[in-house]
Amino acid sequence: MAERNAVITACSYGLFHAPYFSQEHGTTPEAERSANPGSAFLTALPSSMRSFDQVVAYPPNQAFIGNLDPRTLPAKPWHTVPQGDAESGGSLGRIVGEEVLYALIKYSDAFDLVVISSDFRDEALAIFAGDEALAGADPSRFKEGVAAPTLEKLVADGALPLISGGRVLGCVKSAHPTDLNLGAHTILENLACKATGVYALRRLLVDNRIDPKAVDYIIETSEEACGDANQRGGGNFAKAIGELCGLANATGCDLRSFCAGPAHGLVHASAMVSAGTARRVVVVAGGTTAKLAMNAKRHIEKGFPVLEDCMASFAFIVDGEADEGLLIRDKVVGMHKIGSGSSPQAVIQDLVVDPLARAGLRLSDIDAYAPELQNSEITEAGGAGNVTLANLKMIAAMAVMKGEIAKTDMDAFIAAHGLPGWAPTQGHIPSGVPALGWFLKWAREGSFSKGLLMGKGSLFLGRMTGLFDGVSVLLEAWKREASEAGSMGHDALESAKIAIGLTIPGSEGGRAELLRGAAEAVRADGTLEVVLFGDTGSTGDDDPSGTGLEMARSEMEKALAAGTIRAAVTFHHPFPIGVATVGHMKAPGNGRDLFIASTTGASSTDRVEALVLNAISGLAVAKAFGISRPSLGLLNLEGAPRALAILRELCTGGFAIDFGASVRGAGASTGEGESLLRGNDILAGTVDVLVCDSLTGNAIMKLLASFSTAGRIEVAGSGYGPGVGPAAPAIAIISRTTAAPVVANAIALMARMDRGGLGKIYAELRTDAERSGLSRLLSLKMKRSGGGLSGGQGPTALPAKKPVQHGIEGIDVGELEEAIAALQAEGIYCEAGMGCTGPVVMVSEEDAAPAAAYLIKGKFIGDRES
Amino acid sequence: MDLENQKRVLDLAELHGKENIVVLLGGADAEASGMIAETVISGDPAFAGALTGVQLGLATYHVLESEIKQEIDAGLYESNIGMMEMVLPVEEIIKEVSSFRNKGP
Repeated sequence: MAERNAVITACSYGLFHAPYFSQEHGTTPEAERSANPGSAFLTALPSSMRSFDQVVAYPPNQAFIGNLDPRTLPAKPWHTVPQGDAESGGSLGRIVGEEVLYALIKYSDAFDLVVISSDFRDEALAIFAGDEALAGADPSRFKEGVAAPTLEKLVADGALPLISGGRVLGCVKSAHPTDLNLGAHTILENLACKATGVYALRRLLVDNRIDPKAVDYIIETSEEACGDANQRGGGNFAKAIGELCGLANATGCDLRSFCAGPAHGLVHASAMVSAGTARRVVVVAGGTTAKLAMNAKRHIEKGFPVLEDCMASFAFIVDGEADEGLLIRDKVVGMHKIGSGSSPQAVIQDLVVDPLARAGLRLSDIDAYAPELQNSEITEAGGAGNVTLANLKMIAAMAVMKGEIAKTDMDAFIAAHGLPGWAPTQGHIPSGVPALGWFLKWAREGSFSKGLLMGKGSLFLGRMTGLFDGVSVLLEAWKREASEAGSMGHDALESAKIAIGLTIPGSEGGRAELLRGAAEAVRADGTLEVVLFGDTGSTGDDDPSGTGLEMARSEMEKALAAGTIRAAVTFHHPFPIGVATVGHMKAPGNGRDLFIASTTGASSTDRVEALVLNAISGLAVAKAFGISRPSLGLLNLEGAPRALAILRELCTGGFAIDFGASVRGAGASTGEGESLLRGNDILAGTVDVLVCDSLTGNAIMKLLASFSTAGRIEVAGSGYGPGVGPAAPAIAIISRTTAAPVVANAIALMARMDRGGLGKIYAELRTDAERSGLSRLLSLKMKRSGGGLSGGQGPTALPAKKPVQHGIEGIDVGELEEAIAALQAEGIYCEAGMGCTGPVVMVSEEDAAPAAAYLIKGKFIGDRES
Repeated sequence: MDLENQKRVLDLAELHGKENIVVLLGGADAEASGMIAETVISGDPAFAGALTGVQLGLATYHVLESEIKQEIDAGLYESNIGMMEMVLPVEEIIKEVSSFRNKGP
């Protein structure tokens, strides 16, 4: 199955006002109650709680549910600037009151552990009926309520009350007489987590009209553990939540990594969708009671209300069949590795610098960084500083170290690429994920292209390791392009037909061989149409004068320009200098796709420069073919070590290349590092992209293609491949001795290049390479070697430009520039070109004879007459 | 300063001799770094840990101070600390830590 795009299409966030839980079950008040029962903090706590309206009007909460763009948050202190027209419902979620939370807890109870009063039973049913996200829920879960004395008795026996506005609405009982893991406290904590997760997921489905039955997998990423004494964290919140949301066709599991859990969840969901394991995966997490009022002591000391008075939850969906949304670039995930160490610099290197370098991006190419997004009013007053800003400063410092910005521009970088924190400090909740909804909004408005989401976790808190954790994901605004419709099943196939041209004259194998190849290509891929050029219908093969091919070529070029064909396959094309072809072959040693860059043409007249540019061309073709991170190696030829050094410097500048290693082992006898390949690497298929000069590549292609026919005819591979270079036409070259299978492969290859967007990919890679210093590195090399294209003879008057049709062959590539200059000086207009057999000097028909004579006289070419 | 760490520092000083110990700090904050320097030089100001009333007078530096920086290979320093050097309030930290060092026990 083809790889799918993993795309986030919808997010939902929930806030649950929980003033009673905050005072009763937050670890800070709990610890205080056992250590200093009558403390000033505990005395001040009840009067420091906010009302529901205050919670709704709190600006960061409005940002959390999608009503207030976090980039436009007012100046702090936020709790003193209530939003006048604040609503409890927003485009990304909803804030609900304590009674809703308790009703959800009862709804989430599968074992009669939650008992509610008769009055509250009726209220809960009304709450469910009045909330569109809960309206379809099964009311039978609200069994008969009990009278007040029964509740009092249960609480006296150890059940934990559910109190709101001074009323006891219900209680949570212990599920086991002795097992603390099933005690009332843990059950309450877990049910509250489950309940808040259920609400976020139900909202996600209802608000975005997602069919619950279309979801295949659930990943739950909170920080709670459910299980009993024999399996304390056995799980599984995911299925428990899915069950109450109608996800009948889904399964799922819990995934934990402290606060980094949600970011890991995103990576896993994306990988499952990309691999085709699941079409749609939801990632969900409920909130935590333990972290309520965590910094309340310091907040009250500073005269703040208790700002950590809400549980929070989220759910988002990763869809493999979406048409638009946030594309998860799961091939460029940043992972904090075990061996990296936990220094902040190592973490930022792993989470930001490395993945972006692999994606060929600079730090400043990211529109918005979403690291820990804790509400900074809460953390600053709590003594932990501005967590989001601290992260952004580190990223900006890295941009300085990479030479992207000046140190004085760090603040400007943060202002341009950072976000403030607005998420409630519920551990896993702030960890990047609150930005997803806004990224999606901004992407749909067209104001957002790329964002980096980062999750970090303090693993050492669990006492199993001193390690830290972190994972980051690159997200991109994305819409399915028409050309991608080809992968979308048969309905879309007709509209995605691709016409590929094929010139007929000049085959040594005969017209029939070409037609067989064309027919085979169409048989193998029904979306292809092959348009023939220069087909006279004659069974004879030949085109001794070459005029038939020339005419066919001219027709083919017109069709390409008119867009009636998307690409073409032909025997010969005089690509300009700057364009070289990249051949395709299955590596004999392992059957993997091997791209040989280059096989004809010349990307530059300078050997080292040509090798460097060939590497870029080879990467472009491999990527267009569908290899997202092609490995690359240079064949150990003259100039290769210099070219390799330049490529490595490009990497340092941010251009992403995965260098493959020779089967002979690192630096086998060359001392030049692992990426200089030997002859056996060609056969072994060591790398995806093999870089060499055109003449060597041409020999390799011919050798591999005609090996089994002892050199008689080329039967393997896809030919010499598309010309790649600035403004290169979509033309691929095959040899005149090409057999039908290779013709078919060449046609298929060009269709794949068109669908894969070769031209666009090449242009992007060239831009990336330029940004990474390509021109500077190449000119530096030129200066060092004292050679180059501009010999420095000063300007001379050039002969007038005229059309050039005649190619003079036989010139050495090293002397091409000199020959051109000499002819120009002689008043003969000419251009450099590259034919199948090597470089050519292109002149007009009328100049053909005098130019050839001059070149013979100047010993640039041999005298064929003699 | 963390109570457990106070105990460790005291044990190490007794084991190796306080003149043979350098305390190297890596904290991100001037005030907290100063407090630790004070603790291992002139005793726990919070009167809570093992160093309460113990004036070890240990040689105490923050990793951002030039005395330490010049002891470390420049490339290694740059690749591990270069970024944080740009982010942290270096002068404040140095001022705070060195003031306790200069004052002595």
